[in-house]
Amino acid sequence: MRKNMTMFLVMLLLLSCASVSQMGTKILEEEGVIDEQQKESIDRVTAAVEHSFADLTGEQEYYLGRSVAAKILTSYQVYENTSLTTYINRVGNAVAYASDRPELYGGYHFLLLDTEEINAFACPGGFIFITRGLLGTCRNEEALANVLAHEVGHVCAKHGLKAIKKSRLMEAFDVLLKETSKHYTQEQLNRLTEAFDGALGDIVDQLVIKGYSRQQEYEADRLGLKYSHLAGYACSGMVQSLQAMVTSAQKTTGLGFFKTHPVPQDRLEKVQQEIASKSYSRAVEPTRTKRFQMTVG
Amino acid sequence: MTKKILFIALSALLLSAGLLMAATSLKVRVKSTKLRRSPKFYASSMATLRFGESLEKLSEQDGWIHAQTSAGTTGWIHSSAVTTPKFTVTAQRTAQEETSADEVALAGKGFNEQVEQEYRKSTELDYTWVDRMDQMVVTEAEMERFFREGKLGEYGGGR
Repeated sequence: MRKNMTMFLVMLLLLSCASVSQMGTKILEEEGVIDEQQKESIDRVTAAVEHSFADLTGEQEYYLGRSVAAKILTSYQVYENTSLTTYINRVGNAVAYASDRPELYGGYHFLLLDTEEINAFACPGGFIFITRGLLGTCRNEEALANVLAHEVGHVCAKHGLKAIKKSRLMEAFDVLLKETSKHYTQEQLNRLTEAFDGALGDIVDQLVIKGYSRQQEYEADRLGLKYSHLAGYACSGMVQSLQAMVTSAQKTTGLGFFKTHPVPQDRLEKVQQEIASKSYSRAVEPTRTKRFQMTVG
Repeated sequence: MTKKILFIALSALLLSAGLLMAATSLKVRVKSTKLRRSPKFYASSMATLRFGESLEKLSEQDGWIHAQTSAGTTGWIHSSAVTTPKFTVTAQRTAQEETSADEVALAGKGFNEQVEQEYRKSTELDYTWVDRMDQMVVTEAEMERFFREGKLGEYGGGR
């Protein structure tokens, strides 16, 4: 009984400790194996190594997203149409409200790119682009909502942030954990900026060149269907726009969207399975189709 | 020896109990948001809240928190817009709260505005449209109308 009690108390004590590794360095310091400075250095490196993309704050995600968006805009022109942009932002925010991360640090923002290429980009922090070509595959508001919800799914699942190499994060967290002040010295700023530049390269490479993995695309489809349904949209729009993509994919030579996304036929089959298994059977609402036609044409 | 462990464990328990009492204190983790009249994103605003602002949690319902500002204004805020203090320990703590626990403590650190400014010195990237995107705001009133006219959310079959 007494032994069990002691065990329980020791377990409780361990759970109360901030970090087991810090206990280890403390013991080493007490035993004289390492000095205080070495202990602090080991603790900081250990903490930096333990950090991953998931530890980036919403604020850091936002600043990464801003620059990723600026980089994407070097390759595309913006389609300037205030009423259309406003409409896309309303549809996009409607599905974002129903998402797993409805409140981002800087909110969700949607913009139309002036190209016939069928493509979309979900930058970290909620900066989302869709092309005129992709909008052209949508026949109603449901389809547009499903497409935007898929992109919101990428943001919620932090797919862009997952592309950042571990070494960049270790570098950033090493500076971050070392410096208590919010204003960095030039040397610290140089290290952070270098890690920032590298992280941007990793994300843009994933978004524009390599594309997300098939699993990430399927996950974004699944989340997109869920968010669309929760917002009150029919999910049939996803099927319809994927069918349009299948037709387009057969006509194109593997550029743009089809270079960075799994074959639409594969996605279409999985989407149809998901809709059936989750009983997403809501009908298309005519009043929404009417306002879509009035705005998009 | 056992007495010593018992003393340390009890201290840890007391500390945990103290932290549990502080569990109702929340901080805003987004740049700007609203305290709303009802638990809907398109509900009218009771107050504008800024990053780091403190709130007292009164109750919780389906991901929404009924809270009170330091000025005494009460209203609803979505749980994804707030963070619980770093060392708050509750059995009901969600994964989202776990990952956001350091959010306010790490405010302004790491990849921040200062880093973006430094990065911009070395590139010719144009942030004009990014800044315009940032300023695109859909108001509660227009979203409420959009939901109502389009039979979305509570006006249709959604939530």
